[in-house]
Amino acid sequence: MLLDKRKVVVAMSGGVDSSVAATLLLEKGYEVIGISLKTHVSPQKDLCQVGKTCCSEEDIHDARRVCQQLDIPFYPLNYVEDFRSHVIDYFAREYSLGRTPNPCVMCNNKIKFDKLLKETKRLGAYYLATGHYARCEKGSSGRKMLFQGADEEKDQSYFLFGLSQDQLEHILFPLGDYTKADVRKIAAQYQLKTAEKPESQEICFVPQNDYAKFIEREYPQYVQRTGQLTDQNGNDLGSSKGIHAYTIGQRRGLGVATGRRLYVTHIDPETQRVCLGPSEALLQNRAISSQISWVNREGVYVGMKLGVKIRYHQKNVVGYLTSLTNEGAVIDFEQAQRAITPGQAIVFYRDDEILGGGWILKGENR
Amino acid sequence: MTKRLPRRLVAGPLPSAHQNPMKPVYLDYNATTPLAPPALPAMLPYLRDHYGNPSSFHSRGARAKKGLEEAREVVAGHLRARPQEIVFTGGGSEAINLAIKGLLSTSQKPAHILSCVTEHKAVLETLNHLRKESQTLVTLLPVDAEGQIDLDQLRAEIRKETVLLAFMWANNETGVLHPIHKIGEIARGHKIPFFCDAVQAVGKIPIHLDTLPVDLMAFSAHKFYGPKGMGGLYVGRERFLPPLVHGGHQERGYRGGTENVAGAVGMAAALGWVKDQMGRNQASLKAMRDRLATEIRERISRVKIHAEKADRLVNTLNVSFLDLEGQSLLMAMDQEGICVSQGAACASGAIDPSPILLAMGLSPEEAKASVRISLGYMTRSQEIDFFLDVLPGIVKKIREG
Repeated sequence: MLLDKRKVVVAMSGGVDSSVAATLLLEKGYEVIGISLKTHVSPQKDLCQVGKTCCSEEDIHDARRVCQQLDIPFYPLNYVEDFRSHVIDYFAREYSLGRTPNPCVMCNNKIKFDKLLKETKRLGAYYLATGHYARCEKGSSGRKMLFQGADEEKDQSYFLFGLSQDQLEHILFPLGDYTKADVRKIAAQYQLKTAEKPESQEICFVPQNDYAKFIEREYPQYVQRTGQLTDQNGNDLGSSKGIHAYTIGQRRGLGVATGRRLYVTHIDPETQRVCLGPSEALLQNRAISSQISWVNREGVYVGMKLGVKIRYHQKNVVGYLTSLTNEGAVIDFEQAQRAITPGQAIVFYRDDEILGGGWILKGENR
Repeated sequence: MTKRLPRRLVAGPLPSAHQNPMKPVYLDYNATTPLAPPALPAMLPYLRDHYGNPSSFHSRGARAKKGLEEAREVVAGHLRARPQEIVFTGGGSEAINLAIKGLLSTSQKPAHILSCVTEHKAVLETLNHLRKESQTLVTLLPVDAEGQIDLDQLRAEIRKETVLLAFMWANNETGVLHPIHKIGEIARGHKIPFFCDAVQAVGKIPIHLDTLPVDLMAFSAHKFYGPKGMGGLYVGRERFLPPLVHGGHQERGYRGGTENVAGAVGMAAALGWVKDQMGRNQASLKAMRDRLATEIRERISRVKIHAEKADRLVNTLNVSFLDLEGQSLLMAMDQEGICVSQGAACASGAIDPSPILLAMGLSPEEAKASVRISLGYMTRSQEIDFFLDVLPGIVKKIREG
């Protein structure tokens, strides 16, 4: 099918970033279509006071208002089922396996840059754009290269490691060269309805960010309350709330009073045991990861020195690609890292270029 | 400093729409209709000159009151009811609420209401509310694959606590007609009040309330080429309902608040116009709808037309294009300037799979693949031509995408 390179679908979240992304594309002369995804139904809908709407509805309303201001078509699409099966189910399952999931990466991989990208092409549009802070350029070899956003604080490249060359060919990140302050300013200049909208909460489908409560309510089948809390030597420290309620590095809410600060250092889904230890026990210098995907594999070799992120809000640290197989990769860090967390994404950089990434299976000491 | 986008960048029709010589092709008459030609001219004097409050003592008020009561007489006349049996409301949903809640509040407890799974949300949500608030018992009859109820089952579900039968005349999504006369006779036989949601029926089929065994009947002006925000409830003469909106003597106490005079006048004008259209153009409307069905089947594979064997409105065609998502199709159609619809829009405007089609036994995939095409008296055969020209390519594109 012939796709129109002047036509672009913008994934509108209802926030200021995607609003400005759409505006910038219009400034450049693109024909722009706004699409919002209804991804979940608030589980508290029934409890909502009359006149209130759930957050997802508010956001879609805001996106619609901005599209009306810009005088572009707007469509809200129902992706509730896909989002549940690819993102929310995954999210709950990972916790039940003692891992800490990253639903935003999964949403990018399975929803935005897969199903919505297909939808974009069906509309005859060559490009799908989002409000991510990341830059994409064509390298000298013709390959697409993905870079961190110009705004170091807001850089969202970490969430985009799963993108392939094929996908990048059809993706635009209009905010890549802008800072958040720029974006707010542009929104104000155009008097966009979302100009002063606050940042969104961390996980869109978890009310009050209480993910344990969310899993207990929505996925009771994943909740086992039989496990124990132990110290580093396996001594019993009390009963756990179920492994879904813990994450590596967690200190708060452990319910153990031993006089010294304890952290979750290990979660064992087999025995349902949650192991606690001192801060030092969180330090490890090797990460084993699986399902590696590459944005740009050119010039990548075993032994290569990389910039590595093991969580979103973190500066790149130095690591070496010690091993790379079809199954996964081993990264050895120059300096031991705190709380290498199974289930989180590990992302590889060459300076500010994002090369690829994968999912952390475990941390260890070499 | 405020910036504005240069108009050439933001305005103007989409390139693909240029190929559509009659944009938009509007095939969503069950959602709403354009105004009947005589409606606006009839309304304008009441917005410009006769702006008096119908309740006022002076002649300006009296003039408005005259328009209001004439409108009531015209509406009653067209529906073959008596003027005092027509209560004007702010639309169909309000009329439905007034009827059901009002009737229930005057009923013995515990009360039982018998209705159907394919009713409009305005009915189902009202029943749901009563179920929660006043422990009302509700039985919803199922429908068969053609969207029809079983009258024997209806009879069997009637209990001594049953205080209301609530059945729609024509279904908004499939156009399926319930046997209102027969339901009404059953209701009369049991001395149970019968409420009929006729929102999709008025303006599409003849309504003769003088021979119809219904006690309460709701209708909505914008479904029959009248203005939005205007509707009415027929309240059979021996009925008494408490008001839904307190606050005044207007509408004989049924609905407080200053009346929407222009709306009532517009509704009356529209009803007269649509009755005339029905008399003259019903056959050609049906011919266009049937042509759509035939040619969609000829030109596109894996198509399922719903409730085709049922008695249904002549303007409605509900069809699933299997192996695609209706929302993708709707979006692509809109890009071509074609307005059709699907299922039930939620608060965000996104589409949920139609509970009506699911109740008819369709799988969620089939329901999601459905599109409702509804025609009206302004539909031209060129619109159908254009629709049929464009549709196969779009379906193919989406299925292959």
